Amino acid sequence: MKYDINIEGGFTAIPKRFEGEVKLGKDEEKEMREAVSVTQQDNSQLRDGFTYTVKFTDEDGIYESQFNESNLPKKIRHFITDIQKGNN
Amino acid sequence: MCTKAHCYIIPPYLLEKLAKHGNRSCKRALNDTGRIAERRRSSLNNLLLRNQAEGSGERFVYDSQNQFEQRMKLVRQEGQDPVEDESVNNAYDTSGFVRKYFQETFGLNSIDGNGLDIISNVHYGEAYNNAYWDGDEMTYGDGDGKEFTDFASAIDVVAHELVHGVTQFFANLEYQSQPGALNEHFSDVFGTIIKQKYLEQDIADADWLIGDSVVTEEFPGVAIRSMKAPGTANDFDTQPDHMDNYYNGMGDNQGVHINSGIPNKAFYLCCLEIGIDDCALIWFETLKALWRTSDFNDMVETLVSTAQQLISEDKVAQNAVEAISMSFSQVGLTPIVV
Repeated sequence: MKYDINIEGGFTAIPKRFEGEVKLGKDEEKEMREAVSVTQQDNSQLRDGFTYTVKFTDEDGIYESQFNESNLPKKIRHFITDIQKGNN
Repeated sequence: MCTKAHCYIIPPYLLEKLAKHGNRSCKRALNDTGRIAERRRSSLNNLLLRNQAEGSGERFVYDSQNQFEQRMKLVRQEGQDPVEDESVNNAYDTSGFVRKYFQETFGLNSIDGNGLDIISNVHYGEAYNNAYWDGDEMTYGDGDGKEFTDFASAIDVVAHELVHGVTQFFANLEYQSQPGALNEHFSDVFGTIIKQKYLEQDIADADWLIGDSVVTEEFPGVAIRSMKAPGTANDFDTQPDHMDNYYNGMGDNQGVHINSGIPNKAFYLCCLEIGIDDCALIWFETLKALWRTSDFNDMVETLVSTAQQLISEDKVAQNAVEAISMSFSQVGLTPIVV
């Protein structure tokens, strides 16, 4: 599965972009697609929070959504943390 | 007469026009209407609708234990002795300094004027390079150690985040485009004022940098932002210092951290003319008079009228209006003074 993650905003306002490809099990791929698809509640009083634009591409299609600090699914959060740590 | 209760049924565009003409009750209603609607969406509305008793702004510091969770473990609260964790103690001390500044300078009881408790979360997430205000509390990451370090230990960062709270309660500036850039501007203004007070500097000694103590030696720059020279703090710093270079893109909520460089520069110039304390008073009173959709011109207009009022009360320098006019003219925002 290919990923393209843009992180914008935050106190530093320095954007970061992570692009790459990971091999995930079928179940895990499904979980990631579902995490991107679920509509989350927003918190419009967030100030200096990051905005996360997450895009996954696999053989079945493209899955894209935008999140902020208050509604980023845990699954995606941990995926991004792993990428930042170089684990993916 | 327009009372707060009556204004709730008046369309926001009308409230905005009345607010622009100086009707403070309409401005309050406009801000309250927006805030309450937002709160409804976040299911906290019932708490807000109650008449809350005045609090004493007590500090609570939680340790997120490197999880992406808030209020995980309470590690220090008001009146308790320092703990071993310096991040906890720094968050406690610096938030106390900010609270004291607003109390002693403007008579403000905590960040909402009603004694709201001051809640900080430290050690949030793993290698998390950020600090944010979420409408109720502050959250600080430790930084990745490569480019950024502990955000909870920087007085200007803590002040910046707490002032997002002050802005929320007194002007509720929208977080996009020019109102959003003003929201960031006020946080940088009081972040830098409080930093100078904390370090016992005067404006000549000050570096006018924001976030200089959260960047490491490997970071390609000296700080996150510069009030004195927007756009020069680091290799990624794209803040303009003049309306000619205004950012019109969609990124960063239409440039809230970018275009704030324009009023930031004007604030710096104004401080050189009349001093930081007079500017602090003028800016604070202006913040209280602004409304949710205020843009740069609204702010400049309000700064001038606020300064005129404060001059008549002999609270700021007699040349304050000229100083504001000159400072904002230099960044491409020439006010009309009547």
